[in-house]
Amino acid sequence: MKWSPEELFFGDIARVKIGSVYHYGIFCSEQEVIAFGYPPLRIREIKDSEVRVVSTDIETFSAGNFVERAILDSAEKKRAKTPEEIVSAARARLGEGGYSLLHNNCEHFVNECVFGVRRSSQEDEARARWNKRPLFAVFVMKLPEDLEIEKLYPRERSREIFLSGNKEVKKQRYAVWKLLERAVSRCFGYSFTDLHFHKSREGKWSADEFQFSLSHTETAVAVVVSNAPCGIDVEDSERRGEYYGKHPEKLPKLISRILSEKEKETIVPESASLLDFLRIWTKKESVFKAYDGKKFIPDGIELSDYRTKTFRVLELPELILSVSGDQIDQLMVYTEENGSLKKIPAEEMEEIL
Amino acid sequence: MEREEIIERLKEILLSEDDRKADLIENCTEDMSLAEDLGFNSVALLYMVIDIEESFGIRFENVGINDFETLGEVVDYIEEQLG
Repeated sequence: MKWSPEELFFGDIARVKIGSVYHYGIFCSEQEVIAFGYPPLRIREIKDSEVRVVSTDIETFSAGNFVERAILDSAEKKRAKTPEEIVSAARARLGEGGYSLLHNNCEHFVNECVFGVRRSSQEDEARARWNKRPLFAVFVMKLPEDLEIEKLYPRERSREIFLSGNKEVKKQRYAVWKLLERAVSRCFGYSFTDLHFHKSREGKWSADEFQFSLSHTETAVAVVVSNAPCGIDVEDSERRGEYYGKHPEKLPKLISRILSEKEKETIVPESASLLDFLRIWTKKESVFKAYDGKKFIPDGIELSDYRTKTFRVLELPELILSVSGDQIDQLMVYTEENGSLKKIPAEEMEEIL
Repeated sequence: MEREEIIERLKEILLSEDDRKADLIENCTEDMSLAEDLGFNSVALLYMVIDIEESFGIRFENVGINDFETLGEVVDYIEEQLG
């Protein structure tokens, strides 16, 4: 749709710019322009609930501003109703309320009269801007005992999970994908089936619309969604503790193996704890997921080069989570239990330094 | 060292890391995926790498934790290193 300052005809969409916003109406004649509300002038402040579909003359509609006519492209012409149908639809709604600046405004009104579809480019732009905001949201969930595995979107991911030979892995991968679905709905309002997912040769999944990272362990799954590179890793310290209880001599070797040369100057493997190991390990894995994703060589990652955070949620104290990413300052954490998401306030989290 | 012997020693290493998977490991085959079929996550793979280095006297140089997809690929690497 283009706009031109030319003569208006019966059934046209008229537009006028008032301040920084556009006001839209259906032109019937110089004496009759039908719009959802009067032009948004600052001198006349009214509540959304008081706004009605009204008929005014062109002078009132334009409030002394330049009026433009909508020029439909060929695809829009095919979808548009006839001028008689458009005007009839507009007149039938005179006096109607239910105005909402974002979801049911004067642009929605004219689109509904002309195309039969309530749509607003102002709403689309606002939604697109909102969905591109700096965001770094972490979702974590304990694996439920009983988990019925159903089909997922996209089909390739569903097939991949179905083919997992290990039932515990199958459960973890299913649960983490379902948690991603909840996260996306919460943060962006997207329906999962509208998204465009891809799988790299290395097996890493990505989406066109946003960035994400997944992690699963024997007892829990975790997801981070962002509008910039992001990575997450979760480990169960109780599970790892069982192993070190049996093999305490192995801990210094493991730590030594994952430290870079520079890190070895400040961290002494022999005096490091299990928590130190998990902190360093999960941080490095989150960095790998955020910025590489191809070859995970922990001692090749210099943690001081990246922005990372390690923490636990007090209600899930055994889980150690590390995240990394460009928008990490926006960190928000949610837990999922029995189908509902709960935002965790800062005082219910503990950063592990 | 024969390939069969490498596999048996590898199974011992995997069992020492997680005895919950005893049945699975005892009956595993070379084409099984370490992550998908045996359920080893990246930390478990790090344990495995270190135990293999000690047990076989070899060193994993410039190798990513996620480089090995199947048990057979690990055996191939050990064989290659043992020369």
